[in-house]
Amino acid sequence: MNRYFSLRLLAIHVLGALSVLACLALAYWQWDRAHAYVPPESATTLTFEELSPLRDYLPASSVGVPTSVTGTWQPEERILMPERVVDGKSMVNSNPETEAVVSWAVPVGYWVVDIMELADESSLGVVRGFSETPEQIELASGEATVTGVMQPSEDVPGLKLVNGIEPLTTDLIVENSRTIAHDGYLVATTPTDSLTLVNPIFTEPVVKGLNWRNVAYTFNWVFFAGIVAMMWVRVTRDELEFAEIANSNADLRHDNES
Amino acid sequence: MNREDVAKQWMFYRIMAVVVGTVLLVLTAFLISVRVLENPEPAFYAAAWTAHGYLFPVYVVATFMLSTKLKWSFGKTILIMLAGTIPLMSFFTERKVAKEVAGI
Repeated sequence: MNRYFSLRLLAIHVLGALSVLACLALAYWQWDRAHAYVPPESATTLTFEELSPLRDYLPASSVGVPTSVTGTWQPEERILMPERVVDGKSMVNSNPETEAVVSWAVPVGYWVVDIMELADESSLGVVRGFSETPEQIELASGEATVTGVMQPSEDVPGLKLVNGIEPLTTDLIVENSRTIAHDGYLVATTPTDSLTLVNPIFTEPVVKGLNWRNVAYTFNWVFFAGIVAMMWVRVTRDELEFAEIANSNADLRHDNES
Repeated sequence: MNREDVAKQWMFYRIMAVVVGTVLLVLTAFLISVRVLENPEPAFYAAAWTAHGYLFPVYVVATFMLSTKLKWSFGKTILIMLAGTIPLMSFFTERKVAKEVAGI
């Protein structure tokens, strides 16, 4: 067999290439995480469509910016988020690396989230308010215009709620929507029915630069990719050397036989 | 085999094995303190883990360089590299390698 192409060598190359690719993929993943919430250029007076682009993350610069949106309520698609209080900020765990338990002095109840379908047929999760008895809140229906502020999905890096409260995530909204959903959710600032308005978690745009830890991990993985490539070269070289020795031994044997 | 070369690589490996081993041991103690005993995280905690993330690849490079000098098999090289990820383990492997180097 050709000395540059044996089954063992092929296996070495496949393994080597896959390992290097895996390291680079992990590097890319960390790079992506480091950047996930860097705000784009902030602009004044934005329409809802500009504020919350479809098929994209909610820009960090859109968080907490007052806006108004018109659409049709989807009464079958209500989401109730339990164990919550009116003030969103007080539910935030200030040390996200740990679990925090808070006993509330204020009423604990539900955030009532209704889905609104917009003119472009996209879905938007709207936190209409807080209630201790959500079963008494009439389902929203018909066309309406709500004013409010956009909030990021509650699983953004660095955000963790106390008491193990289930986060209101984009995934959850997607699961409960018939159509493509916007990232994040809107907190209504105009009162409806007997709901108490909720104070959003983020009141101003999330301005987060590069996450240095993820950047550090990115280069870590690039470094590893380099080491793996070095080992790949070395194993290939050893294999070729071995094949050469085996070959010359075979030649000797052949010479002796003739 | 060039003895001086081996001695240099051996010293590099040895320093890295002890440094990585010590850092990992200290960080593991803090990990238990933070995760199991639920003590608050010390200020340097995150940065220290990141630093360890950079020290470990240097240890891997040191192991790799020594392995070429001592003609270790691929499997043995990988095992000694992985030993650096287990608390206390790199101290034992360092002693084992020391015996091997002394035998040359």
